[in-house]
Amino acid sequence: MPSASKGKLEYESSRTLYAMGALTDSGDTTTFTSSAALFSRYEGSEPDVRPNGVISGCEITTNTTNDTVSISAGTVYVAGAEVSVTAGTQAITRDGSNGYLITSITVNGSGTLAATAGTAHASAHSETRAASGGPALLATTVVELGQIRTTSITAAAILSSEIKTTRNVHREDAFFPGWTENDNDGSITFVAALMENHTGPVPKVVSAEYSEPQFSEQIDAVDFVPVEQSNTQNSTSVYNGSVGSSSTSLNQGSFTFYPREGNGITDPLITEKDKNLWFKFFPKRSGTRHLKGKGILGVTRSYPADNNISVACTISGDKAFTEHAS
Amino acid sequence: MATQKLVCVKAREAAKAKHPLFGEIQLVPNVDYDLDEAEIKRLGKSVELVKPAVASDSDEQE
Repeated sequence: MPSASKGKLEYESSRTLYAMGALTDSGDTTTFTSSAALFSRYEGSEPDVRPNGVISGCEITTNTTNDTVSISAGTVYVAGAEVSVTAGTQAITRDGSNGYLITSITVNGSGTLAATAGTAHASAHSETRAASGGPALLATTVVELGQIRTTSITAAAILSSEIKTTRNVHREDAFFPGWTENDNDGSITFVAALMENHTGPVPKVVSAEYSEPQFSEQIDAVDFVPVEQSNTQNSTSVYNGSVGSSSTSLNQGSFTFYPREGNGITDPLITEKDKNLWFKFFPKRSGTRHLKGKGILGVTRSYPADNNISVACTISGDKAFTEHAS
Repeated sequence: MATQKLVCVKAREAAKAKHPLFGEIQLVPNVDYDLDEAEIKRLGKSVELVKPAVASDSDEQE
């Protein structure tokens, strides 16, 4: 029967920082991958995700001047940078022949407003990008604030009913749709697919700054227990017997190590107490199979007079450790 | 600027096409697109004509 006598415990001792840059669409416009295999949750190194889109303001409203709209001041993310947009007006150009035209109002990384017309249609609008009567496919360097849907070639004041700003349809919002950060594989997943409104067609740019954990072995460690889910059976008595139910809970992980010259005071791992760290445990030192997970490190030190100094550590995680073959 | 003849066509099926303004796009069935004549010829039966040709160059307009 195997034992873990030749096991190895590693902990997140350092991190590699990846500067703000575009994540890669996995192909479904929902999950975006990074260059990191894991996201660190170490204090100050958590992922900072900044999808292109409106953070605040930048509302489009009517204007008394023909073929012109007003845009309120606001802020947007463009390629990971927060850009201030000054309140202003933006003119649109109607088509010379066909009345049904959709014009996108955009802002770039310099905060400059612009209007980009789609292709006009004689009798109908289309929701499809690049279609006749549909909105344009935009450069990936701009954020779409909304669309103006005109139905005539004749100049006139834009009506409020002609201004469309539904999020993820006509307008790019930085925080809609929302997303979850998958620390286990260094990716993020939006709760809904992003619209493909940029030339390609591709969705908006999703930028992030994040850190990937680097691991070091914790020497003289023993008795590793991973954070794991446990199931509990409950039951309630009823007149004709009992009714059962189940509940789940997450057990705290733990291990012990015996400090050397640091005396449990200056050991590298001790300096990381109360921090959220990744851990890897290899039951066989020379193998690749391992358990991986993260949690907040807690320490309890013992200084007996007739035995070695020991440090009992706890791992308070928010998810169970996962199994990896390689 | 040279005049470019654009023709409004309806896509019969999903196909990749070169749009005169937006580059390579994916045609959506039953949606109208303004494409140039050479591209329509290349697409063959993937698209069908929905109305007579319209010139995109503004200097052809009165």
